Amino acid sequence: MRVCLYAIRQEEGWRVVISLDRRVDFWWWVMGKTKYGEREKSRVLSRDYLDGMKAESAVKTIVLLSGSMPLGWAVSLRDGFRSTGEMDRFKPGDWMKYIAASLKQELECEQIPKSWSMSGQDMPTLLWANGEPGKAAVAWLTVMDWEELSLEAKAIADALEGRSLLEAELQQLLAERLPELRPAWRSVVQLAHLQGRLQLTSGVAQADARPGSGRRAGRRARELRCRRCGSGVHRRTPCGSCGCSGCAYCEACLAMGRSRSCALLLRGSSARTVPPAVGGTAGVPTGSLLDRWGLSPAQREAAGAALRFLAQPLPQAEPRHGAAPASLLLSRRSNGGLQGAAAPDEHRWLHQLRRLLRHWAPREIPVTATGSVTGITGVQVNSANPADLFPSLDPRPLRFLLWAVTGAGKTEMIFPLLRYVLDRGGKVMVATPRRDVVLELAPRLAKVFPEEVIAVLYGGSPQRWAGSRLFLSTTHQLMRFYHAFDLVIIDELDAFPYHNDPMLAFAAEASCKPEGRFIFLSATPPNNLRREAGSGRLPHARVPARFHGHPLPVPSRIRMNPVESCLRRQTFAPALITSMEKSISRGAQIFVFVSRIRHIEPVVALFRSRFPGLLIEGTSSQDKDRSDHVLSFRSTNIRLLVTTTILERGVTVPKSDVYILDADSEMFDEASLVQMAGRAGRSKDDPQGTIVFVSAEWTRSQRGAVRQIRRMNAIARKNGFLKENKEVVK
Amino acid sequence: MIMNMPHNCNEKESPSRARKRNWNRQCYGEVGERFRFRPEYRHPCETVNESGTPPYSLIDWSTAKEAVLSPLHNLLAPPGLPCLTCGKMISGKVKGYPEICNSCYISIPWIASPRCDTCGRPVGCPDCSRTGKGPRHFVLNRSAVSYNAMMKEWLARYKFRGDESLGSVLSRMTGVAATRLIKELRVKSAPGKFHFDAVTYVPVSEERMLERGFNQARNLAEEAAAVLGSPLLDLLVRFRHTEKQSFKNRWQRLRDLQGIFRAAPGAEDLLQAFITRPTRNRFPYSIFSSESDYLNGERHSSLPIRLLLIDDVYTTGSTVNTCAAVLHEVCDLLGRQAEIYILTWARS
Repeated sequence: MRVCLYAIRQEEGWRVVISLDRRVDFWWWVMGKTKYGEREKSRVLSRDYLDGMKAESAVKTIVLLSGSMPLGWAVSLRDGFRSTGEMDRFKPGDWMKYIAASLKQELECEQIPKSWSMSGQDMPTLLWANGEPGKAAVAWLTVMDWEELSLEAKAIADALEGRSLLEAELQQLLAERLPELRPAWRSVVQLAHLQGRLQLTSGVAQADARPGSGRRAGRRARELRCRRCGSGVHRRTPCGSCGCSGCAYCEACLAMGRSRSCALLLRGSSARTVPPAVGGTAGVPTGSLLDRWGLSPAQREAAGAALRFLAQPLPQAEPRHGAAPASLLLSRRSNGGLQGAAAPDEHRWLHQLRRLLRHWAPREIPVTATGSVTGITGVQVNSANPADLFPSLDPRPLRFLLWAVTGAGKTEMIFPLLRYVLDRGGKVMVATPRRDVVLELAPRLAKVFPEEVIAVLYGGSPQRWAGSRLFLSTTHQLMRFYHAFDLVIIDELDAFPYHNDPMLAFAAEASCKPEGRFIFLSATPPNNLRREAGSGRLPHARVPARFHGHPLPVPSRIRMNPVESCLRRQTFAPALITSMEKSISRGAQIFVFVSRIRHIEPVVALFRSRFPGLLIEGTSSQDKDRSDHVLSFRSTNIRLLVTTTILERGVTVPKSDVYILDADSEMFDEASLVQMAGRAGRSKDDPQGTIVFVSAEWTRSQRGAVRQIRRMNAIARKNGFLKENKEVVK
Repeated sequence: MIMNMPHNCNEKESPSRARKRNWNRQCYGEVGERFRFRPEYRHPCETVNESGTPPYSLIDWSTAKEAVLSPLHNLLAPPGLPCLTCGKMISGKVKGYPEICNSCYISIPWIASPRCDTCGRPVGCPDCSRTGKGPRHFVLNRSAVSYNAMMKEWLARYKFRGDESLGSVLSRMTGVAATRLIKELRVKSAPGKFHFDAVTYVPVSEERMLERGFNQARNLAEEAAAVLGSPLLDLLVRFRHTEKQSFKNRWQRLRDLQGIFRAAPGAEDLLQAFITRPTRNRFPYSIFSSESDYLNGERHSSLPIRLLLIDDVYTTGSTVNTCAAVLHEVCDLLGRQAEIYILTWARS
């Protein structure tokens, strides 16, 4: 898309503004500030009206830099713009030189190296100077229904609050929610932008658009990034929309609509909410808030810790990193729209280096305690520290890890947290990587919060553009939000596709307000979070026991050749068959996990021949009747289900035993072994359950999984969360 | 507790495993290996930290190591590329298509020999033999592939989602079909003298261009023109913006296409300029040129202008037929006969 760009001189200096509809801008800066509003009905631009403008307008000069410019260039110019005193004396030719110098990189990217004047652009022209409209301004002086436009701008800004949408998505939203605004959307959006309620930017832009400042960090700082997903952008194609021969587009988030250099990205600003805990920590409302949810002691303790985390006031001093070299390396500008400066994937090693250096900084020794919320406040840096000379990283939302074992009742624990934030007028997001979890969670949340309208978002959801205070969505949909939420809860953060996807992590962080809070929820947090929690950098709470107060069943092991060779010989190890017979005779439902989809069918066939009369099925991600199979397994029609990691989480079957074939396979890491083991013994009536790792090798992940389960049991026992202590120790 | 210890759940144990266990015991004590490095564990002397020395137990050595080593690893053994279409790592590269994996390449439904001579369908075609339908303005159509579900997905990703990296794959496929077409025509026509005067494509409306940013048919045509050595000309414009063709049935398609396409302003001049342009092998004063070649200029006007029209998908042929009709009009303005050939990427 191409836009109009102009420079404006106000009291405080020059500013460059992007315009989608120049008439609105002229109105806003010149006419709107005068008496013209009263004369509007006469619809005549008389001489005395112009005199009136002269007297009252606070704007001294407006220079049209370009009537139609690729949006990417305009954003680059605007974001890199710095007002200087010389600009007051600029002639149109000087402006032209300034533009050419600022857009040097962009012009170089065009296949024929052109100067700005030769690229078919018009000369910058004066639109308004010393209270007189310039010659070119005649076309801008039009009469609009100002009041109606203001109302529409308010409606659109409300609808876009906290959203981050591409133009195509805006069109969909308008079609659904505000169809009457569709024809003149550019004027309405422009007015909302001028009012400061909408930020206009481009989908892909330079990470650091300020000219000159990129030199320190080298070329990396000038590379293009997607402002929606934070990925580096390398592909440029000729574009018929902006006319550039090298318009970049982001390949990482294509599935969510194409974000490109000339694609308009709209970010609606959200209202600031009440800061938490005005009266210090005195008002921390644990007891009364927790009572009505019927939580188990373990759940209650952890939820209390999380509530204290939410109620904790923001650290007074902005967290700074003490070590000077780290700050030098990592200084990131926090000017308009540069929040996407460092994407997690590219800068990971820098982050790690920073983390490392932070430990060497004097006086920053985090305090560790399970469930405590210290250790987050930053270190005061004395002013002589060079860190002060360079702006440090943007304030990041505070994070909290709720580490609850499988079957602990995580969902119940988030209810009091949601209630707390909603009661304070905040906006909440519960995000999870998996769509089926979203669909399963939606009715439960609706039951607990009957008075709230819950917006349930996923690909193809009918509520995609709905406004609400309580959102439930897949992690991909977080890309459509920007600084929107006071509390973001990420459930199952170690699940595919969120795990190891820097794009989604970026989107999640961007969706949370800088002063908002993050709560991660997992039974098997990824290693880096566990380490951070262990060293006290990440406040966390553990729920080591299941809601029914029985310890987690510990996996045992059966040695067997790899499944591949068992299938070749058409036989399983006798120990496995004996153990399974025991499970069958005790009436348990049997999960059999295999590492490969191609194993499912032969394994099912082999089991069928072994256990005739037993209903045995297999299911995988490629199975169309997966949900049917799971349902009939739950209702004990199917007794033995052979499956892959697709069912490793989120499935609760009352009385079940778990067999993991090829547990030494590299497909099963520690987390997925723990999750699969977590399918057993979930109900109160059958808390024991059998878990068997069937493998040829005893690998590190199996060892780790067993150790993790034992440790959680030990912690639970120590804290007295287990009901039948004596029976368990045996 | 001990009964559940995984080491003990099998009586037999390989000697190497037993050795390893003993070694572990010696190094780390009976409790279990790597106990010391568990984050919860603190050595007593490290907890006293008043001198300001860094708390080494808190340093994330593994991530630090990873931070230093993984770029080196990547440098020494760059990770393989994922297949553009299925996302799996490419093991065996296909010649000419480095972006896609072997199994994806194998499943491309190439149309090697069309059954229908007119529309290039690989199966019997009732449409072309049907009587009572409107006039056909083109000579024949050839397509690179049949439009199956997989090809449909590829095109949707390219065209609607804007994944332009797929564009080059589709263009190359069209280029292959163009070579095949010209070979076929050279065999059919008198001794190998077939040449297209120009290549053109089905345009998109201006609105769609602003929205999408590219015209898939033009990108395909670029490659075809390069393969054939003919000029690529912008001869047509799309006037009206219609709903996406893919959502309509046959009857709606035929009805909606009336008057959508027009000749681009100055199309006949453009075409004139290119068909009268002398080419090297028709250079009149060459000592190798025979008399008939010398007379080429005059003889040319009696020959029809041969144009190749490119589109992405041929379904009913209504779009290309409408375009072909307009191209005939353009050639009529030049007072010349025209032969329009169609090349599409897919035939549904």
